[in-house]
Amino acid sequence: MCNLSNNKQLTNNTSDVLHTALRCRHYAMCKVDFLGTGICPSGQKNHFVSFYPQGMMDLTAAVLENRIPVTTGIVQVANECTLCGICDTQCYFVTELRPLRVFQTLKNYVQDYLKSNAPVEVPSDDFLNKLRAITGEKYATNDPGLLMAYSNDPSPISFETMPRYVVVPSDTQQVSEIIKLCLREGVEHTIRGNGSSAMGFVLGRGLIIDTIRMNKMEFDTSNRAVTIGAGISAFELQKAAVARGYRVHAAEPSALYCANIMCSGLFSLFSSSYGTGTDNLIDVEFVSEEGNIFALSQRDSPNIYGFNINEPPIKAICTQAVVKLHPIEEDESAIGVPFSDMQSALTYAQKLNKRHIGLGIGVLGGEYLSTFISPTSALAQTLRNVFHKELGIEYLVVVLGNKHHLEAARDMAPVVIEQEVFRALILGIPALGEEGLIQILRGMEGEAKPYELLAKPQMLPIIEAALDPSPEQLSQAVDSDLKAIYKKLYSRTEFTDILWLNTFRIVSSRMGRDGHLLVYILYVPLDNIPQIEEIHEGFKELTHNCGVRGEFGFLTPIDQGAMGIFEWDMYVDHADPQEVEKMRIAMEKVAVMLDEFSQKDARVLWIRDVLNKGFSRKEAYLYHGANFS
Amino acid sequence: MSNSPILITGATGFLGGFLAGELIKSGRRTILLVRPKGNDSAQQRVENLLRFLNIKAKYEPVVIPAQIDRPGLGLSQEHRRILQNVPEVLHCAADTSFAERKKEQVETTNLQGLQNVFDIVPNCERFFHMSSAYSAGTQEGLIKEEIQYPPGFHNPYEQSKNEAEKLITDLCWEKRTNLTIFRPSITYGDAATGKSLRFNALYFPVRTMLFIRDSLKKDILERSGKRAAGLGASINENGSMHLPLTFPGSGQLNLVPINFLVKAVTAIMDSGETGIFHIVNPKSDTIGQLAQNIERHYSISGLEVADEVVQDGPLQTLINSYMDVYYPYFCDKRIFSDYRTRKMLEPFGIECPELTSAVFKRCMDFAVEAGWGSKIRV
Repeated sequence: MCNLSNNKQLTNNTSDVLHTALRCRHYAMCKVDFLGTGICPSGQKNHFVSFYPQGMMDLTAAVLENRIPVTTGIVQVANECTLCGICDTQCYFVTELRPLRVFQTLKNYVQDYLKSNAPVEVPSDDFLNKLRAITGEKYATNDPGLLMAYSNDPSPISFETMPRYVVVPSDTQQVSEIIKLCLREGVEHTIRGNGSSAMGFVLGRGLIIDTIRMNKMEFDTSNRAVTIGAGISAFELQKAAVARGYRVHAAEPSALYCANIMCSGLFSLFSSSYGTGTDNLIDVEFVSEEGNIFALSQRDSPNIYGFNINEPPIKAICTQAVVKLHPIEEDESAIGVPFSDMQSALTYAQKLNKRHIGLGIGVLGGEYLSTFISPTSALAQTLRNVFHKELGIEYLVVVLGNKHHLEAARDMAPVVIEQEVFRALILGIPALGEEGLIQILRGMEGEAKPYELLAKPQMLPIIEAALDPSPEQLSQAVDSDLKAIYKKLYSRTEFTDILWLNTFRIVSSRMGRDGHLLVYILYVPLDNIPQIEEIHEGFKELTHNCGVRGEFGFLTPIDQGAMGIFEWDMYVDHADPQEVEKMRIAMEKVAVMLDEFSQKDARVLWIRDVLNKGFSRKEAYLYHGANFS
Repeated sequence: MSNSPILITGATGFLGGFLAGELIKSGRRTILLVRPKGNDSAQQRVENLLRFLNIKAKYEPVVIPAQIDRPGLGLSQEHRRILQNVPEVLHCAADTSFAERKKEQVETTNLQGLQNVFDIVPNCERFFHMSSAYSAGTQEGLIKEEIQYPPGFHNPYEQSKNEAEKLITDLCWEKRTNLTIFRPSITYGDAATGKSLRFNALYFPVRTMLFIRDSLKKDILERSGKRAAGLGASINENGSMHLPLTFPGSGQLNLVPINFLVKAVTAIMDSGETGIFHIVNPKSDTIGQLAQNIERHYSISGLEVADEVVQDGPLQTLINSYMDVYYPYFCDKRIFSDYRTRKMLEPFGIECPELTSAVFKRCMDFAVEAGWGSKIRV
């Protein structure tokens, strides 16, 4: 083994590379073509996450830190990488990381190593042979170089756990046979989606079943349905649905759709009309703990629809789902309604939902808004200041809908920021931070808040004259070698279309740009807004006291304004042990705080209560206090 | 000149800053109550102020971090003890926000803050209170240098300043403290140097004009010019920018430079006189003169003045947003009597200078240079 720490001092360059490699957030955005620039060819060809940029970041860090030997698998990973650069644009768009030089370093390292060494080859064993008999030779491995990419997770409460095998089955039958094999051989198994579960629950010591190859997708538009395999991501499903004039209810673009439902149920701004839980599912196929295949539509299938807060989730693997298609209307668009206080924002959002107005509704915090629309972290910081201090926007209610929805929403809103203003603000973002327009608006001193003036329809020509919104202008904000590609990306109108951005959610993963994101999802009753404010204040105080960064994310009203899906986010540099320790303490305290709220009001549920119970009917958990059981 | 210390509040604000600077320069012993701001401590802010005003102190001011809207000003026992025997106070701290939505904040600072300051100086013998000519509210015609009982107010600021005058009058009466109230009109920078610490009021319309001019000029010269054309703006043959805008025109605009205010206030303080003094300009300006000055010095044309503004295009919307707030001051129907002030100042030859074209340019050029305050750190 090439001992880097002894034989080669880490140069500054290598140190920078390692810094980048350790900071992959495992959001798997490199596994979907969200920019229309393609996907890593090596990953697509070889399937294991180890061949995708996400896995290669982990492998490179492990190699540079001398944590694993150079195996045949690692040599293959290094050789298969063409340094095409697709990952660099994708990763920069989301996190501002530049992985390309990491992979150049890996290739150089492996090349140097092979000059005087042979790669370590791990022999197959009986279990692996049996796995390969099910899936085919190249779809199962025990190479530690490849396994490394399945061994860790950025979550502060997960620890590196090296599996013995990884398998990438192609269909339900193979999954069934694999489960039966595991039972026979006494090997524990863990099912895994595209990235990580955000809390580190996809690690295991035995076999990891990676569903990425289960990529069946069959549309049945006459039944407004699409059948998908467990390897289909939300992005590719949505893209295919939109191409046919439909929309599915999807969440994070890189998440594998089935895994996402299983983990937490699907929620997004569209939950206010499309619902959550099983609302969007026509049928689901599972493989049971025993390896038996069953569908929810069978009368004798286990009752996965049910919910009991005290019972563990049913251990079954979702292998296929039949998902509802929602028609898209031609006149759909979006508006934003700014507020300076939470109560007014929540009240407005709830009123809309009560009256069935809008396809999607979300109360967004300033952090969300500025991070989503800013191409860089520095600009996001500037924008936070602009929205919060200069314009007085604390919350923005985004309403998605057809023209009738939006007319009603405008009618009920104190102030409306139209789509065209959003487009101007996004494309003119570098100029927003400069002295000029915003200071003029703030200096008006009148009864109208600065954002009210900004939102006036007459102001658009002035905003445009001041900001010169254009793809060229926006591209000024990014690294010089990426300007041309950003100019091209932002020439596409969808990149500034609030409805499209919410449909495909390609910018929501920017939440992790400043560090790994810990998402706290709560279901809260909307008839008690002071309680929501209390929870919000509790989070604020707790994160402040623990010295960690946290912000309100969003709240979406659901089920006619009865309940809200509430997200609060905390951020951690997962490669910094001190920060991780602080975050662990904060997480313990958050758990205590949320349990106290749940005890006071049983309708307050949080992610821990519903984890891996995402196939429950939403009514069964939202109103679990009314259940017979 | 007294050698006993004087307590000054609002000493890093516009009026308070220039007055504190003058008193420090003249060799007065001063105690300054200052709110820390951002990363700057109270002490740092005062050092920044003296550097800005180019003043070397004979007696270093005693700087006490304080928040006047908090009972006891948030002071330590030690600082309270220092203030126990202060004989004179110049109270300049104020919130000058006009918006109704900021009413509570304005009242807290301008009324509760005043009470808090008065309470902290139990042995004060003379209290100098900085009020405003606009505490006269919605009255029209002659406003005398006496407590006013107007039928209403244009905004919470005016009301708070009016109520503060009554509050401090009662407080001083009860404790037999001598009280002098100063009522300045709209104050702009130093007529001689152009220096200022605040760039609203007179400055803001100019700032807005220059912002519009520069944005549209760039649009015409560097882009297609479509946006400027859509707004009715164009570049004239002489290179100036034509902006079709109308200012509301009736009434007057009372403006005093800060250097006059400083001279007038310190002279009255030295005189030992009590009562109310209007620090105003006997010769008011008009918004027409303001528009002319903007056109003359900043290569702009097309500015018109009319009794009624009917145009409602994008540019006019922006200007109207400001003019709506400042209308009572830019089109003022009040005439401020300064009989008592003039009587005090004439023997010293102190007169309010005119806002000439040259002074206007000097002050506005300073503002531009200072990034409308963004480059000044006090």
